[in-house]
Amino acid sequence: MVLLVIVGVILLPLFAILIRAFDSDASTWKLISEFYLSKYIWNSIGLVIGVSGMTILMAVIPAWLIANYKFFGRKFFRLALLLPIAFPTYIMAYTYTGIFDSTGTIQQLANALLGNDFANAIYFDFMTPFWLLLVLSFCLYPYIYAACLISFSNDSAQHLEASKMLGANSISRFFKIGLPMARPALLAGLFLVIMEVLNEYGAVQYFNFKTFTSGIFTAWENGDLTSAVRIAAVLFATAIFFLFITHILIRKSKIEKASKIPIVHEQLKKHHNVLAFLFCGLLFLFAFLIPFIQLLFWAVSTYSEVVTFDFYVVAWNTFTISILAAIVITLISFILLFAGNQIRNIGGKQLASLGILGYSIPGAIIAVGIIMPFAFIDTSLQSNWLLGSIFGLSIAYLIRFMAVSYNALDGAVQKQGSRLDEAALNMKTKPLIAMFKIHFPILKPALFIAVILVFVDIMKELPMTLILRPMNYDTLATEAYRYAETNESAMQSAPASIILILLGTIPVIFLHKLIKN
Amino acid sequence: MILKAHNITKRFGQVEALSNLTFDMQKGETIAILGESGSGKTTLLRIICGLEQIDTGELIINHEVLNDNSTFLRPEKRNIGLVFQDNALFPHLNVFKNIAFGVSRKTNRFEKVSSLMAITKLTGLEKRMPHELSGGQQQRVALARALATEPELLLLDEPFSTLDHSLKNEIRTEIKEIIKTSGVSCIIVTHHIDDATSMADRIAILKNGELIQMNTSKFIFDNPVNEYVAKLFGIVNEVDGVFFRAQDLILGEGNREAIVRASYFENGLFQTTLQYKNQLMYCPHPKFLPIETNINFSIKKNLSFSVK
Amino acid sequence: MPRMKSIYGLFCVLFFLGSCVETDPDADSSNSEADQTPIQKITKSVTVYSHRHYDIDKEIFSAFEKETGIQVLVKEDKASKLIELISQKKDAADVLITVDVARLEQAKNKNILQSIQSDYIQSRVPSNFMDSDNMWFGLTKRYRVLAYSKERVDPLEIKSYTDLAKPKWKGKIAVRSSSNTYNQSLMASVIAHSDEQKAESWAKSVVANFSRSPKGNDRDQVKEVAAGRADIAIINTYYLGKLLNSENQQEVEAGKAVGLIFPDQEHAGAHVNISGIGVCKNAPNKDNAIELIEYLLSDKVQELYSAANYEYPIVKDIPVCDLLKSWGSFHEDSIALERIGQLNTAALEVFARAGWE
Repeated sequence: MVLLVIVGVILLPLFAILIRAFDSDASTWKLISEFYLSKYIWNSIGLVIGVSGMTILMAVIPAWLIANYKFFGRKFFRLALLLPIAFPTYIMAYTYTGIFDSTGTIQQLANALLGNDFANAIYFDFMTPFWLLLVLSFCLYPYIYAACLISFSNDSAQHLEASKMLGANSISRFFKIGLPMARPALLAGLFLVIMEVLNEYGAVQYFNFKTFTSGIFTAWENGDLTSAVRIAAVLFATAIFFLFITHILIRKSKIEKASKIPIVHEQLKKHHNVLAFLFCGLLFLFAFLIPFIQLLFWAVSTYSEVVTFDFYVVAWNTFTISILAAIVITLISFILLFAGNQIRNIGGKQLASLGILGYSIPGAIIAVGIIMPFAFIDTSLQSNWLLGSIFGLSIAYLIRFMAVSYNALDGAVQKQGSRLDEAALNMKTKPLIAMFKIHFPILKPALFIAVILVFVDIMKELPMTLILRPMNYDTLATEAYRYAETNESAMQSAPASIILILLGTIPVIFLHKLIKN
Repeated sequence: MILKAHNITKRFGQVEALSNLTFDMQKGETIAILGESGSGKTTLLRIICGLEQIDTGELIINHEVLNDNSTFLRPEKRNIGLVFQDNALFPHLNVFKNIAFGVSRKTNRFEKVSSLMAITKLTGLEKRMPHELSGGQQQRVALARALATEPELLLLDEPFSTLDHSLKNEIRTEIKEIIKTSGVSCIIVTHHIDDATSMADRIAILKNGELIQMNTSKFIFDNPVNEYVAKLFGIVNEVDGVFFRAQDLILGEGNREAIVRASYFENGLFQTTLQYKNQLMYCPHPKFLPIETNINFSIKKNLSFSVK
Repeated sequence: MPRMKSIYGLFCVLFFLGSCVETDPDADSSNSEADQTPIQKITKSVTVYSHRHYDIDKEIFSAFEKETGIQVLVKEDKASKLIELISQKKDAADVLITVDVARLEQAKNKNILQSIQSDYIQSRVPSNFMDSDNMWFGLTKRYRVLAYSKERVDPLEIKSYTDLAKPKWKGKIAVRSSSNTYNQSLMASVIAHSDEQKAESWAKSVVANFSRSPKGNDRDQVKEVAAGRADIAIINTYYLGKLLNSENQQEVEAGKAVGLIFPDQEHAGAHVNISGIGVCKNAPNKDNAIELIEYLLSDKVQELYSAANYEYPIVKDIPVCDLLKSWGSFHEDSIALERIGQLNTAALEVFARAGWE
């Protein structure tokens, strides 16, 4: 019953949107299907493939090095390489453009130090698909890195030792044991990356790289919401396609976990040590440190005109709505997961996992789906409870981000197995009591990780927050967006961005401590 | 001599896991390293494998120094086979590929793996995945995988700990046979005296990182160095400062008198608890003895603790 | 484990703090509920849905609050989303503000605006900058003009939008994407002054003259010209003002490197767009909404738009800031802007056919 209600709440807006795809007032649909749709599809798929490849490279190599070897800076990079997850993609894109464009930091430095000719010689056009791909990868690789790091250092440690004893060198250990055994974790992380790429809007619009999301927004801005929804339906189908593929691949490679043994880190010698340090160091430098320092400089030069008392209210708003919604969403996915497991035999699990589909839909489209039923309820009750309330906004977050907490919890529950349930039922404990007395305490760490992941995602969220927030209510993301988008000034958006990123790194540090234990 | 350990010491922080360990083993010999958890036996095993490095001392296998102050040969370069406690079969590879993992591509892999599978009675299971095998089968795959590299030395880490009690004897015999057939030198690390006595030619007893006795099981049984070692082989009673094994307590004769405190049937005999003065003694006895009755006893043979 | 405990401690504290603060915005929105229910009107308020995200707007609204006692509740987002929200919940907002005419026309077509009769408003806004049914009114003007390289271009060489199609500018023109609404309105005006076919062949020639495929924002186009990778950028006037007043000295230099051409002086005049405002059909506070619009059209605010945001006042004869004065006086296109809004879809089609990314 609970299950049906939750899944219903999540799926209803999705259906509400899809129905609109059949409206007949699609004034620009002919234009879109004739000129743009195939471009949207191929660009999106290209971007997904490119970012997938790039993030896997960026994530798997340092995760492998850090899990298995001792080298200079290893402990620092273990944590530091997680940090870029706090960077919203659009801020990363604006920041890097501000570094590389013709009035940017690089050109300024080159001009000042080595003269105009040199500056002209080293100039390159940053706003190309390749750099877009790279910028997105910088923000997204930590999803895979975290998953692989856990897998390499816990799940496959003993098997790696076994292969060592069988004479496998480090390269064949990686390809024959480490990588195949990390496949489920890697794919789970990759799925999140793919969804983020498909839903990315700010950076692709700025680079004028025509993907599904940019198509959706363009159509909508041209007053043709119906066409926007139709493109969203195609995007939805693409997302389900990727969901399906990753699901099959994960199931195929399902493995039993070995008992945990402490991994012994082999000391890397001389040039290997240097290479490992360089790889991790450069990745950290480009994915976090450089854009962060650039933002810091901008923030220092603009904070006096941008930071007012309001600004602290905004930071506080961001923090409270994010943490509250994250906690509620995690609890709900916990209940959903539990309810799904209880009625496993009649497809409860499958029903519950339908709830994660919301992750594959751009926030703005979810917002459309929500506005309709909410407006109906609000109007008929003569109230303002849903539209433009924290509550309504939280429901939108729930629909969009349930997948994040659900997946984090599902992994932990699967490790635990159903024996606990059965044992509890044997003791004549009611399922509800079993849930709170047995699962809740055991899953505490997983619950905490889920809250953190959702928290970071909500903080960065933009399109739903913009439209569904209460009146006179700003968050750091909306402020950063306001300056970067309408005022076309990355510099002025820096103070909000930097606080946003700092707020995001704190839970990431907690997260790091948790996965270390 | 296949292996020689000389003054091996290993510390983890402040804790000395192994101190001044010295022993050697002959080619083709099977020795058991017996100790409770925390005794340092796993550390010793990992040092022999090269998964840990020693702080001081010297480890020589087949006349080659593998590890001392200046040398360290990486595990993948050592010719040592290891069977992990829970087998650590590669979950994503089938039985054949698991066994063939360490076999060089230059040799005739198929024939070699097939013959090993025959020896380990796994023929026909080539395509099975590890999770589709029984515990005993998994163990044999792990053994075959370790033997496939033709190691100079085979190490078994707690080999029977995950197996059903009823299966243990059978599998011990099987594995002992396989080891003897292949002629490999073997070290078994265990905390079960039964594993050690049934499989090993000699037993090394570790306690708190020190080797306290190493000899054949018969010799250690007869000449334990101390009470701890003696007790590893069964119940040891102590009466008026004299130690003796339970089976050396003879009831119904002698001039001392004890009271029966308990008597219950187990393993074909009545396990009997007696009280003499304030001291409790235990022995197996063929007959039931009513509780609270008195009975005479004598001691057939005292235990004397030899100096190592 | 003690670490876990302390984490949970923190967790609980956060939860507690969070729940304290959460009541604040709630209290806020319940206030606004009260405002909107006529029976318990405590304070007067007006709800503004705005696509203008400028700092100056916030200041203007708070000045309005002080002067009139009417509380201004603002939600900023893209016009498309705001329009959707209003069309689903008719009484959600009192006024809608957009940054271009096409979105105002969209809102009118979605039937979410109402006709307003106010002599003051009608006297302030020139008739070509307001809807013929009095559903929307311009607030500020922004011209889509040509920024040329002072170093490499003689401003006499290029006088009109048509000139952009000349082969001599091959590889010299920088402009942003056709998904940008300002470009769409410019194209609509080209269509309005000729026809779709001519507009298309014009667009094709302009595309052939692009220095790179369109990307970035208006500021980026000026930077392209300043850096010598293009000679002419198509931009909105106020972005040059913002560049010239940037904290980044290089951006100021880039701004100084270009001059402005207000095209078509010998023909229709420079293409002009507006940011504008309309009262929502079911506005709960219609009177306050009108009061706000009148305030925004007052001399003081109109001057402020130019001084703080480098936009041109919609009201005639309002003094503009020095920078705008330095760009001189010029002849502007007098076409009724609602026509531009109506031609939006046609403009999209021309862009698509011409391959303007």
